[in-house]
Amino acid sequence: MKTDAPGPFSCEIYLKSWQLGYRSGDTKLHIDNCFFCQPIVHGGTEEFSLSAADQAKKNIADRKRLGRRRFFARSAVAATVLGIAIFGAGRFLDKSTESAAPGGIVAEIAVDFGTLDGLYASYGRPRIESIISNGKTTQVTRTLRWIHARKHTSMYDLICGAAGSSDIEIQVFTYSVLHMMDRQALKSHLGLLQSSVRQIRNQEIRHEFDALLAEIESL
Amino acid sequence: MIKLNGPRLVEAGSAVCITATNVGAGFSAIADPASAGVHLKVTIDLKKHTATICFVAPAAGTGVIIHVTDSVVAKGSSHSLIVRR
Repeated sequence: MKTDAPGPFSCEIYLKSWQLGYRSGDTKLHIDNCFFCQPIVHGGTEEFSLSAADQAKKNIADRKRLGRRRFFARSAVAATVLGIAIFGAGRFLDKSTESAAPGGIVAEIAVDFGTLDGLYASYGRPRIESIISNGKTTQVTRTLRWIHARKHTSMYDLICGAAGSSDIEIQVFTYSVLHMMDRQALKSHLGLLQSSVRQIRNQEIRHEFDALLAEIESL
Repeated sequence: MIKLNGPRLVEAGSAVCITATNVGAGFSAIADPASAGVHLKVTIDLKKHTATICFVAPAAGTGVIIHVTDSVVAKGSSHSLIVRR
Protein backbone atom coordinates (compact mmCIF):
# COMPACT_ATOMS: atom_id res chain seq x y z
CA MET A 1 0.00 0.00 0.00
CA LYS A 2 1.30 3.37 -0.88
CA THR A 3 0.13 6.76 0.14
CA ASP A 4 1.16 9.94 -1.54
CA ALA A 5 0.67 11.83 1.68
CA PRO A 6 -1.61 14.62 0.53
CA GLY A 7 -2.09 16.01 4.01
CA PRO A 8 -0.92 15.91 7.57
CA PHE A 9 -3.07 12.92 8.50
CA SER A 10 -2.08 10.72 5.64
CA CYS A 11 0.24 8.73 7.83
CA GLU A 12 -2.46 8.23 10.39
CA ILE A 13 -4.83 6.97 7.74
CA TYR A 14 -2.16 4.60 6.59
CA LEU A 15 -1.53 3.35 10.09
CA LYS A 16 -5.22 2.79 10.72
CA SER A 17 -5.42 0.61 7.68
CA TRP A 18 -2.24 -1.06 8.83
CA GLN A 19 -3.78 -1.78 12.20
CA LEU A 20 -6.71 -3.42 10.47
CA GLY A 21 -4.37 -6.02 8.99
CA TYR A 22 -3.08 -4.53 5.75
CA ARG A 23 0.46 -5.64 6.32
CA SER A 24 1.42 -6.44 2.79
CA GLY A 25 5.06 -6.39 1.91
CA ASP A 26 4.87 -3.16 -0.03
CA THR A 27 4.17 -1.03 3.02
CA LYS A 28 6.05 2.01 1.94
CA LEU A 29 4.86 5.45 2.72
CA HIS A 30 5.67 8.84 1.29
CA ILE A 31 5.14 11.36 3.98
CA ASP A 32 5.85 14.68 2.35
CA ASN A 33 3.80 16.63 4.85
CA CYS A 34 3.12 14.16 7.58
CA PHE A 35 2.47 16.14 10.71
CA PHE A 36 3.05 13.19 13.01
CA CYS A 37 5.97 11.47 11.37
CA GLN A 38 8.19 14.35 10.42
CA PRO A 39 9.95 14.40 13.81
CA ILE A 40 11.25 10.88 13.22
CA VAL A 41 11.65 10.92 9.44
CA HIS A 42 14.13 13.46 8.29
CA GLY A 43 14.03 15.15 4.97
CA GLY A 44 10.33 14.99 4.25
CA THR A 45 9.97 12.55 1.38
CA GLU A 46 11.27 9.14 2.30
CA GLU A 47 10.36 5.61 1.82
CA PHE A 48 8.99 4.30 5.03
CA SER A 49 10.07 0.91 6.26
CA LEU A 50 7.83 -1.23 8.44
CA SER A 51 9.99 -0.61 11.48
CA ALA A 52 9.73 3.12 10.88
CA ALA A 53 5.97 2.69 10.57
CA ASP A 54 5.95 0.88 13.92
CA GLN A 55 7.82 3.73 15.44
CA ALA A 56 5.43 6.23 13.87
CA LYS A 57 2.48 4.27 15.18
CA LYS A 58 3.92 4.32 18.67
CA ASN A 59 4.64 8.00 18.30
CA ILE A 60 1.06 8.74 17.31
CA ALA A 61 -0.33 6.56 20.09
CA ASP A 62 1.85 8.36 22.61
CA ARG A 63 0.75 11.72 21.34
CA LYS A 64 -2.90 10.71 21.50
CA ARG A 65 -2.52 9.34 24.99
CA LEU A 66 -0.67 12.44 26.08
CA GLY A 67 -3.36 14.54 24.43
CA ARG A 68 -6.05 12.78 26.39
CA ARG A 69 -4.11 13.24 29.61
CA ARG A 70 -3.68 16.90 28.85
CA PHE A 71 -7.37 17.17 28.11
CA PHE A 72 -8.34 15.59 31.41
CA ALA A 73 -5.69 17.56 33.27
CA ARG A 74 -6.91 20.79 31.75
CA SER A 75 -10.52 19.86 32.49
CA ALA A 76 -9.59 19.16 36.09
CA VAL A 77 -7.74 22.46 36.36
CA ALA A 78 -10.65 24.32 34.77
CA ALA A 79 -13.14 22.69 37.15
CA THR A 80 -10.93 23.50 40.13
CA VAL A 81 -10.49 27.10 39.05
CA LEU A 82 -14.25 27.43 38.50
CA GLY A 83 -14.94 25.93 41.92
CA ILE A 84 -12.47 28.23 43.59
CA ALA A 85 -13.89 31.19 41.69
CA ILE A 86 -17.43 30.41 42.83
CA PHE A 87 -16.26 29.74 46.37
CA GLY A 88 -14.08 32.84 46.30
CA ALA A 89 -16.90 34.99 44.99
CA GLY A 90 -19.05 33.87 47.87
CA ARG A 91 -16.31 34.64 50.33
CA PHE A 92 -15.63 37.96 48.65
CA LEU A 93 -19.26 38.99 48.90
CA ASP A 94 -19.15 37.94 52.51
CA LYS A 95 -15.97 39.90 53.10
CA SER A 96 -17.21 42.91 51.22
CA THR A 97 -19.66 43.53 54.01
CA GLU A 98 -17.01 43.24 56.64
CA SER A 99 -13.33 43.91 56.35
CA ALA A 100 -13.68 45.56 52.98
CA ALA A 101 -16.55 47.69 54.23
CA PRO A 102 -16.19 51.38 53.42
CA GLY A 103 -12.97 52.57 54.91
CA GLY A 104 -13.21 53.40 58.53
CA ILE A 105 -16.87 52.44 58.61
CA VAL A 106 -17.07 53.38 62.26
CA ALA A 107 -15.51 56.75 61.59
CA GLU A 108 -17.86 57.29 58.71
CA ILE A 109 -20.97 56.53 60.67
CA ALA A 110 -19.65 58.47 63.61
CA VAL A 111 -19.25 61.55 61.49
CA ASP A 112 -22.34 61.22 59.34
CA PHE A 113 -25.04 59.72 61.49
CA GLY A 114 -24.44 59.59 65.16
CA THR A 115 -26.71 56.69 66.08
CA LEU A 116 -27.13 53.03 65.33
CA ASP A 117 -30.39 53.89 63.55
CA GLY A 118 -28.38 55.99 61.16
CA LEU A 119 -26.10 53.05 60.55
CA TYR A 120 -29.08 50.84 59.79
CA ALA A 121 -30.55 53.49 57.52
CA SER A 122 -27.34 53.86 55.60
CA TYR A 123 -26.17 50.28 55.18
CA GLY A 124 -29.40 48.38 55.77
CA ARG A 125 -30.24 46.68 59.05
CA PRO A 126 -29.83 43.08 57.77
CA ARG A 127 -26.36 43.83 56.51
CA ILE A 128 -25.21 45.42 59.74
CA GLU A 129 -26.80 42.71 61.86
CA SER A 130 -25.18 40.12 59.63
CA ILE A 131 -21.79 41.69 60.23
CA ILE A 132 -22.43 41.80 63.94
CA SER A 133 -23.69 38.24 64.27
CA ASN A 134 -21.66 36.29 61.74
CA GLY A 135 -19.11 35.28 64.31
CA LYS A 136 -16.04 36.75 62.68
CA THR A 137 -13.65 38.81 64.65
CA THR A 138 -12.14 41.64 62.71
CA GLN A 139 -11.70 44.98 64.38
CA VAL A 140 -14.65 46.40 62.49
CA THR A 141 -16.91 43.58 63.60
CA ARG A 142 -15.80 43.81 67.19
CA THR A 143 -16.31 47.54 67.21
CA LEU A 144 -19.73 47.16 65.62
CA ARG A 145 -20.62 44.65 68.31
CA TRP A 146 -19.56 47.16 70.87
CA ILE A 147 -21.85 49.69 69.25
CA HIS A 148 -24.66 47.16 68.95
CA ALA A 149 -24.48 46.31 72.62
CA ARG A 150 -25.24 49.96 73.41
CA LYS A 151 -28.22 50.55 71.19
CA HIS A 152 -29.49 54.02 70.56
CA THR A 153 -26.57 55.68 72.22
CA SER A 154 -24.85 58.61 70.62
CA MET A 155 -22.13 57.47 68.28
CA TYR A 156 -19.67 59.75 69.98
CA ASP A 157 -20.49 58.05 73.26
CA LEU A 158 -19.95 54.71 71.66
CA ILE A 159 -16.62 55.58 70.11
CA CYS A 160 -15.43 57.17 73.32
CA GLY A 161 -16.61 54.10 75.22
CA ALA A 162 -14.83 51.72 72.85
CA ALA A 163 -11.53 53.22 73.93
CA GLY A 164 -12.07 51.51 77.27
CA SER A 165 -12.23 48.07 75.74
CA SER A 166 -9.82 45.54 77.17
CA ASP A 167 -8.97 44.45 73.63
CA ILE A 168 -5.80 46.23 72.56
CA GLU A 169 -6.84 46.00 68.91
CA ILE A 170 -10.07 47.86 69.59
CA GLN A 171 -8.16 50.46 71.60
CA VAL A 172 -5.74 51.14 68.76
CA PHE A 173 -8.51 51.03 66.18
CA THR A 174 -10.61 53.43 68.25
CA TYR A 175 -7.66 55.80 68.53
CA SER A 176 -7.32 55.76 64.74
CA VAL A 177 -10.99 56.68 64.46
CA LEU A 178 -10.90 59.27 67.24
CA HIS A 179 -7.98 61.18 65.81
CA MET A 180 -9.94 61.99 62.69
CA MET A 181 -13.17 62.95 64.46
CA ASP A 182 -14.28 66.46 65.19
CA ARG A 183 -12.35 67.49 68.30
CA GLN A 184 -14.95 70.05 69.31
CA ALA A 185 -17.69 67.46 69.19
CA LEU A 186 -15.51 65.08 71.18
CA LYS A 187 -15.06 67.73 73.82
CA SER A 188 -18.71 67.45 74.79
CA HIS A 189 -18.09 63.77 75.50
CA LEU A 190 -14.87 64.34 77.34
CA GLY A 191 -16.05 62.81 80.59
CA LEU A 192 -16.81 59.45 79.04
CA LEU A 193 -13.61 59.49 77.03
CA GLN A 194 -11.58 60.22 80.15
CA SER A 195 -13.19 57.41 82.08
CA SER A 196 -12.62 55.05 79.16
CA VAL A 197 -8.99 56.04 78.83
CA ARG A 198 -8.47 55.38 82.52
CA GLN A 199 -9.31 51.73 81.87
CA ILE A 200 -6.47 51.33 79.39
CA ARG A 201 -3.72 49.34 81.06
CA ASN A 202 -1.07 49.45 78.37
CA GLN A 203 0.98 52.45 79.43
CA GLU A 204 2.26 53.35 75.97
CA ILE A 205 -1.19 53.34 74.45
CA ARG A 206 -2.55 55.12 77.50
CA HIS A 207 0.06 57.82 76.98
CA GLU A 208 -1.14 58.41 73.41
CA PHE A 209 -4.75 58.61 74.50
CA ASP A 210 -3.78 61.03 77.29
CA ALA A 211 -2.08 63.24 74.72
CA LEU A 212 -5.22 63.17 72.59
CA LEU A 213 -7.32 64.01 75.65
CA ALA A 214 -5.03 66.94 76.45
CA GLU A 215 -5.42 68.18 72.89
CA ILE A 216 -9.22 68.02 73.16
CA GLU A 217 -9.24 69.64 76.58
CA SER A 218 -7.14 72.55 75.34
CA LEU A 219 -9.76 73.57 72.80
CA MET B 1 -7.61 33.63 57.48
CA ILE B 2 -4.84 36.09 56.75
CA LYS B 3 -2.96 36.95 59.89
CA LEU B 4 -1.18 40.24 60.32
CA ASN B 5 1.73 40.91 62.57
CA GLY B 6 3.19 44.31 63.16
CA PRO B 7 3.89 47.06 65.64
CA ARG B 8 1.13 48.89 67.50
CA LEU B 9 3.13 52.02 68.21
CA VAL B 10 5.58 53.54 65.76
CA GLU B 11 7.60 56.71 65.38
CA ALA B 12 6.55 59.35 62.86
CA GLY B 13 8.56 59.08 59.64
CA SER B 14 9.85 55.62 60.41
CA ALA B 15 9.57 52.70 58.03
CA VAL B 16 6.90 50.31 59.20
CA CYS B 17 6.60 46.73 58.01
CA ILE B 18 3.67 44.48 58.68
CA THR B 19 3.93 40.81 57.81
CA ALA B 20 0.98 38.86 56.55
CA THR B 21 0.78 35.07 56.64
CA ASN B 22 -1.58 32.62 54.99
CA VAL B 23 -1.59 34.75 51.88
CA GLY B 24 -2.90 33.62 48.50
CA ALA B 25 -2.63 34.85 44.95
CA GLY B 26 -5.49 37.31 45.31
CA PHE B 27 -3.84 39.17 48.13
CA SER B 28 -4.23 42.93 48.25
CA ALA B 29 -3.77 45.56 50.90
CA ILE B 30 -5.14 49.07 51.27
CA ALA B 31 -4.68 51.83 53.78
CA ASP B 32 -7.98 52.90 55.27
CA PRO B 33 -9.11 56.30 54.02
CA ALA B 34 -8.87 57.41 57.63
CA SER B 35 -5.12 56.94 57.26
CA ALA B 36 -4.62 59.66 54.67
CA GLY B 37 -1.16 59.98 53.17
CA VAL B 38 -0.11 56.41 53.75
CA HIS B 39 1.23 54.71 50.64
CA LEU B 40 1.80 51.00 50.84
CA LYS B 41 4.49 48.93 49.23
CA VAL B 42 3.44 45.31 49.17
CA THR B 43 5.67 42.36 48.36
CA ILE B 44 4.21 38.89 48.15
CA ASP B 45 5.98 35.55 48.35
CA LEU B 46 3.51 33.07 46.98
CA LYS B 47 5.79 30.13 47.67
CA LYS B 48 5.90 30.91 51.36
CA HIS B 49 2.36 32.33 51.37
CA THR B 50 3.56 35.46 53.07
CA ALA B 51 3.46 39.14 52.26
CA THR B 52 5.13 42.23 53.62
CA ILE B 53 3.36 45.57 53.73
CA CYS B 54 5.68 48.51 54.20
CA PHE B 55 4.98 52.22 54.50
CA VAL B 56 6.34 55.35 56.06
CA ALA B 57 4.57 56.29 59.26
CA PRO B 58 2.59 59.55 58.84
CA ALA B 59 2.38 62.46 61.24
CA ALA B 60 2.69 61.95 64.97
CA GLY B 61 -0.53 61.42 66.86
CA THR B 62 -2.34 59.88 63.92
CA GLY B 63 -3.62 56.37 63.56
CA VAL B 64 -3.17 53.99 60.66
CA ILE B 65 -5.52 51.22 59.66
CA ILE B 66 -4.48 48.68 57.03
CA HIS B 67 -7.03 46.34 55.47
CA VAL B 68 -5.96 43.22 53.67
CA THR B 69 -7.99 40.77 51.68
CA ASP B 70 -7.47 37.66 49.63
CA SER B 71 -10.16 37.47 47.01
CA VAL B 72 -9.74 33.72 46.51
CA VAL B 73 -9.72 31.76 49.73
CA ALA B 74 -8.64 33.36 52.96
CA LYS B 75 -10.72 35.83 54.91
CA GLY B 76 -9.62 39.42 55.12
CA SER B 77 -8.16 41.07 58.14
CA SER B 78 -7.01 44.46 59.34
CA HIS B 79 -4.28 45.93 61.47
CA SER B 80 -4.21 49.29 63.17
CA LEU B 81 -1.41 51.21 64.83
CA ILE B 82 -0.74 54.52 66.48
CA VAL B 83 1.98 56.93 65.45
CA ARG B 84 3.67 57.96 68.65
CA ARG B 85 3.75 61.63 69.58
